[in-house]
Amino acid sequence: MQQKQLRHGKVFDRKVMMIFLLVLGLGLFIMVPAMTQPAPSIEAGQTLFQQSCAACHSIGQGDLVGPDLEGVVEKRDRDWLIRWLMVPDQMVAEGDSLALEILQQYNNIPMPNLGITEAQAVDLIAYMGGDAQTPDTSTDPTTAISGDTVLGRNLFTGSVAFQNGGPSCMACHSIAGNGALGGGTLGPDLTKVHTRFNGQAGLTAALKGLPFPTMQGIFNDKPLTDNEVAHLYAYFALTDQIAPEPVNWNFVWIGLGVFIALTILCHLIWNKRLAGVRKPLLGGMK
Amino acid sequence: MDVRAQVSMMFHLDKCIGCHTCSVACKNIWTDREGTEYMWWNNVETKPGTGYPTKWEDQEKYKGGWKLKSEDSPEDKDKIKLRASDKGRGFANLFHQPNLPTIDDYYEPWTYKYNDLFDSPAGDDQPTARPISLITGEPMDIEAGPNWDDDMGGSTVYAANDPDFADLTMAEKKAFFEMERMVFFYLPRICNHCLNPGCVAACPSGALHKRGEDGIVLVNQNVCRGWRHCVAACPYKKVYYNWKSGKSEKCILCFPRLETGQAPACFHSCVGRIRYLGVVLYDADLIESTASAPEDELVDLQREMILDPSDPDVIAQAKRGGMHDSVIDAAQKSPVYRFVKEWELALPLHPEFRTLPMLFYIPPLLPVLGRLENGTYTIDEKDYFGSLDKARVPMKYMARLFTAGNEEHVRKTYEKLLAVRMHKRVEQVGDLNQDDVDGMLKATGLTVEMCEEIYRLTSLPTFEERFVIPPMHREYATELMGDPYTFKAETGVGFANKPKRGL
Ligand code: SF4
Ligand code: SF4
Repeated sequence: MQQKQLRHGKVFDRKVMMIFLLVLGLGLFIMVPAMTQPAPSIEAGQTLFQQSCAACHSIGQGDLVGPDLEGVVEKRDRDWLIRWLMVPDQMVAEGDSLALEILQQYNNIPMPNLGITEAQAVDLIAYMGGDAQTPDTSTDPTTAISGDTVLGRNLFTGSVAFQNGGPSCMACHSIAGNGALGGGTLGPDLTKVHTRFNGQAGLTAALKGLPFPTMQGIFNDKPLTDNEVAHLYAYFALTDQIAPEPVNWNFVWIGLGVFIALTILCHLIWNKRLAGVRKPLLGGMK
Repeated sequence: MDVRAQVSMMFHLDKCIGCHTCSVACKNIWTDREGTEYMWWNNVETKPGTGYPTKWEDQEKYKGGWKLKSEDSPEDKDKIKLRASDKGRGFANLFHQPNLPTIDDYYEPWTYKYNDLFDSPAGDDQPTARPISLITGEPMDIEAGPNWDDDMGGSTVYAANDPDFADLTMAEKKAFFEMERMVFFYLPRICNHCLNPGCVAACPSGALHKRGEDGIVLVNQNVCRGWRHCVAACPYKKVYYNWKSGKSEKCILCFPRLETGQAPACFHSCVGRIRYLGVVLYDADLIESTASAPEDELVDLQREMILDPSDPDVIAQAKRGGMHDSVIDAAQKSPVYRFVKEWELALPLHPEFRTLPMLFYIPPLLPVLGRLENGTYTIDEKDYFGSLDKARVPMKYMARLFTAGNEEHVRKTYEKLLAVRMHKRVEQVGDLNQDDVDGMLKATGLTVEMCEEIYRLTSLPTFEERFVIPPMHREYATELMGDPYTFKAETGVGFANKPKRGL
C-alpha cells in the first residue's frame, strides 16, 4: 500500500510547491530589470534593413519590388508602421484599407511576414527615420554583368548546379517553354516574373535576397552568386516575352501513360506469379 | 560439436481420430482475433488430400523450402538456396513476393448472421442464417474451408490431386480409388520449429528467430514489416499473414505455457493422446551439411544430428555451452528421443524440403486387405512382412510423405511397427505362430524388452511420460528483475493510461 502511494501519489506536495514558487519569484526579480527595453539602435536597424528589406526596398533610389522608403516614417503613423513591419500578412487579411491599397499599387506582390519583433521594428524605424540612403543599385556590379540566357535556363532547370548548393528553381517553380512537365508547383509560375517585379532593379534585388519565407530557410546559407543572378535575370527577361501557358494537363497524361506502361511491365516481370491453386483445380473438374 | 537443445515433437498417426480438438484449442487461445480468422496454426488434414492451404506440398507452385544449388547449376555442389527468394531475387521482389498463396487457397473465413434467426418477421418460411464473410462483412457463398476435404470429402477433386501420388503409376493410383480399397488417415500439422528454418532465412527484416534455449521459432511483432517472404519460404505454409495488423504470425509452441510447465494447448487437449513432447540435444555444427545432403540420406543424417543425452562427451560439451543440468535431465527422459533415435520409429514430414523439421511422425499402420475365415481375419501371407505390400496405402505414397521417396526407409519403420503389433498379438491373443514373430523381431533388430517399452509408451503413457517439459529459466530471470507481487496489480512500468480498475 505504502509503496503504491509513493509510485503514483500526489506529485505536487505542498512543500515542494512553496519552494518552487519562491524560486520563480526570485528569478523574476532578477530578470525583469534586464528585460526593460534598451534605446533603439540605428546600427542594428541598418544591418537588419540590409538583410531583410534591401531586396525589395531602397531608401532614396526609387521603387524596386516594393516602394522607396524615403520619408516613410513621417508619412505613416508610427504604431501602424510597427505593426506593418511585424505582421503585414495579418493586416492584409484583416482588410486594413491602407495595406490593401499598397498591395494593389505594387502588382499584388504581398509584403512577406519576416518574423520581425517589436524591438527590431523600432530599430528599423530609427534607421529609416534618419537621413539614411541605400547605395544606388544602378551602379550595382550585378546589373553590369550581362547574363547568358542559355546558362540562366540551365541554372533554372538544374542541369547546371548553383555554386553554393541551393536547389534548382524548377524543383518548386514552373515556367513557360520548359518541356512538357514544366516544373514544380510549390512556388508560383515564373514566366512573367520580370514584369511582376518591376524589371531589372526589382527582380535582381529579389533574386539576391530571396526574401520569401519559404525560400529563406533554404537559401539563407546558400545564396545565389552575382553571376548566377545575372544569368537568371537574363533568362527571366526572355521568358517575359512568351505568353504564359494555360494550366497544362500534360502532367496528368504523362503520369497516366507511365502508370500503364509500368503496370504492363510488372505483369511481364511477375508473369509466373502464383495466382491461386484451388480454383484452377476445380476448374479442371467442371 | 556444438550441443543445443530443441523442444521437439512426435505425433503418432495411428492414434489420431481426426477430431480437430487440437485445432480448436489452438484457435481459441491464439487466433480468434480480427485478421487471424483464416489462420490455423494447428490443422488436421485428411490424407490422401490436398490439405490446407490447397496443395501446400506442391513446391512447383508454392516455391517453399530449400533446394540444392546444383539443381540449377551443376558446378555448385552441396549448397542450398531458398526456392522462393535467394538474396538477389528476394531484393528484387521485396515489394511483391510472387509466390504467396491467395486467400482462396486457404479459404475465406465466415460466420453466420445468427440474429436473423431471432429477428426475422413472421412468415411462411423458416428463417435461415446466411453466411457472412469475416473479411468483407458481406454475404458470401462458402466454397472451401480449412478441412474441406475432411474424410476424403470431394475426393475426386481433392484426394485425386494429392501431390504425394507423384511416384505412383496411373494404374496404382486408379487401384487406390477403387471403392473397396479406399482408405484414409489423418495428418495433424503445426509448425515444425525446424533446425534450418526457411522462414527465418527469408525474412528481409530479420524479424524471425529461433530461440536459443529451446529452438522455438518466433516472429517478433515489433520488427516484422509485413514483407511476407517467410510465408512463401516456409514449405509447410505455417507462417500466416495477419491482414489486420499487417504482420506475420505463426505457431509459438505455446511458449508461455511451456514456460510455466504446461504442454502446448494442442498437445494438452489431444483426445487421441497422439502427441509427445520432449527435449532432444543435437549438434548444431551439422546443420549445414545435413540440410545439403542427397535426398535419400536426409532422414539418416537428421537422425545422426540428434545426440545421446546420456553420453558423457555430449553432456560435457552441453555444459561447456552453458546448458543447465535440468535441461540435460529432461533430454534423458524425452519420449521424442526414444521414438526418433533409440527405436528409429518416427520420421520427419517431407524431409526433402530441407528445413530439418523437428516434428516427427510415426506413420499409420493402416489395416491391410484380408478375409474373414472361420471367424479369424487372415491376410494369406506366409512371408512375415508380405502384408506390407498389400497395404492399402502404397509404401511409395508413405515414402513421399516421410522419407523423401526412399521406400526402404519407411519399410523399415513399418516392419518394426508390425513386429511390435504381432508380438503383442501372440502374447495376448495367441493365434499366431511364436516362431514367426521371433523371426520378425530378429529381422527388425528389436528385442522383446524393446517391444514392451514401445508398446507401453505408445498405448499406456501417463501425462508426464508424454510431455517432458524442461524447466524454462525465463521465469527466474523475470523474478530477478523485480518482485512480481509488487507489480501484480499494475500494468508494467508505470501507467501510460491508467486502467479503470482496483484502487
Ligand atoms: S515449419 Fe515452422 S520453422 Fe519450419 S520453415 Fe515453416 S514456419 Fe519456419
Ligand atoms: S486432438 Fe489429437 S486426435 Fe484429435 S485431431 Fe488433433 S491430433 Fe488428432
